[in-house]
Amino acid sequence: MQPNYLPGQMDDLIARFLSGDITPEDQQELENWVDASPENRAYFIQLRDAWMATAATGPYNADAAWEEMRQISAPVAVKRWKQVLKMAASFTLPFVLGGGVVFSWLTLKKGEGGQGLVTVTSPKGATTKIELSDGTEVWLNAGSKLEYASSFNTSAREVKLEGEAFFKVRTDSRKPFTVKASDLKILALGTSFNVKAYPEDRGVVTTLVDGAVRIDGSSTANPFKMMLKPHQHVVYKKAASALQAGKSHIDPASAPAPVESKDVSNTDVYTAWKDGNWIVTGQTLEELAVTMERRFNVNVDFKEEELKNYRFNGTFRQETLEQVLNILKLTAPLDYRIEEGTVTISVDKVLKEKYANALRNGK
Amino acid sequence: MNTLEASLHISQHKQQLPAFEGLFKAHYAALCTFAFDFVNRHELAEEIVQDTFLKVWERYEDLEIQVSVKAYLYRSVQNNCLNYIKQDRIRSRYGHELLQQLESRITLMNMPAAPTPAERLENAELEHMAEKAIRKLPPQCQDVFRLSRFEQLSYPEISRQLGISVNTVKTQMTRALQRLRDELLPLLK
Repeated sequence: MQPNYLPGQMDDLIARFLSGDITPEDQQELENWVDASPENRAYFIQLRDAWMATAATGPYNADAAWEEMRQISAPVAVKRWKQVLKMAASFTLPFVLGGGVVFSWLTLKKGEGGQGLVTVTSPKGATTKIELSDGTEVWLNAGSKLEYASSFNTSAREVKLEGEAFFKVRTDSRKPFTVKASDLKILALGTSFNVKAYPEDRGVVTTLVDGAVRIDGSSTANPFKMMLKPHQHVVYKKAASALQAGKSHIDPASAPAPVESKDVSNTDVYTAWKDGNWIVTGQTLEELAVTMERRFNVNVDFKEEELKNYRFNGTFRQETLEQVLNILKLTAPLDYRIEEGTVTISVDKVLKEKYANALRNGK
Repeated sequence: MNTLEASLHISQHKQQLPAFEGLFKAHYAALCTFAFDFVNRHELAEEIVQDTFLKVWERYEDLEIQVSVKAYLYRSVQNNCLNYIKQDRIRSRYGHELLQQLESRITLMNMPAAPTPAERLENAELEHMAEKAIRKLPPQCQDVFRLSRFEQLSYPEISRQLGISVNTVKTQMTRALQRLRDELLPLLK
């Protein structure tokens, strides 16, 4: 062994590496150590091979996987299905970040004009990436749904979004790409942009990374149209009247402007989710809880109201729910309990008192 | 993966499909377990194994396997791990740092030993001895090892589950690994 490592220190890194519980930095250190001498290398290989010799079967289902593969690759004779299968074949295999199963599926419903309708759903706790038949890539965030006609890309390119998605649109000037989200239409040529339109958000947030998009709000209570420039971030809030179906419109002139626009220097904050990252910039715990519920498929309850206003900054990558909560716990006087899919967050009174004292004494 | 092309092939040598299905179902789970050690993610392991099978299927007719089918599949999966994650559509899924760690992991797991990991898995005696060696571990050491190896729990999770400190988990893990190595060394050579 190298003299600059304590005995057992490398054994710990090797064990952590094999079990998958290692930081990138520690793994780098291990790699350097392995490369440093043939003895180190041989030692590592022995432990690695002992580990590999103990492999037991994991949570894999061969029958389900076989069906999944068949569904994607098998030709079907019935003509009506051909169209659908062609669509299915044009998808890349939907994938899931953070563990779990593949959840995307296709349904064929009789839509208007007897057309087929394709629905891709990314349930809570999973992110799905799909490629449409025109080459456009779509990242679908947890708890989101994308719908489009099976005739997509024949004469027009139109999709309907409920939830959040990042679009990387393949350029085709003859067929503009349209996203319908809530009561807005977002028109794009070749461009990358993020749309967040969860029903419970009661609005649409559009962030343009590059290219150009136009927002068409002509069917909203306060009709508007606007062109977006790269790095522009537009928040549209649905007018109160539009929330209650059937109620008459408020006089548009008296209603407040529904759109707020700002330039953002870093669009990563809004698109990081597609790479499995989660950037938090001064959000309240109440806002974080909504994301946590979608990302980890849990309910979040607050024991005390005051918790909702705690604010946080930071970046999460592949952390599990518990890791996220533990990190929050490190920075704020809170505690949590996870039971049957519900996270209950409470104030850690002892710690809060400590914080308050420290603050008082510091003054 | 080019699924359209794959489906074309399926119609061409359709009569071979049952045999291929048998091969798939017989080895799928074990191959995923094998791939998991390389990539440390279940969903990625499954994708790689499925992708490997599609590739095998595409060349099924003119495939002439010199070694055993099992050894061939293991080697194909092992070789496919690094190639698979180098595709753009997979790269775009993980952040830069994570991808680097993944590549480095696969490289470390790929470092040649004689016999190769794929060949060793052919060795039924080794599997038997490995289970025996685990059973010989002291009780707490065995619990820690099993939770890590078979339940894929993290150190903090194991510490919570067993009500012991993370430091104890650490000590027991390195101890388990050392003992397993000592027991299995004659077979690993």
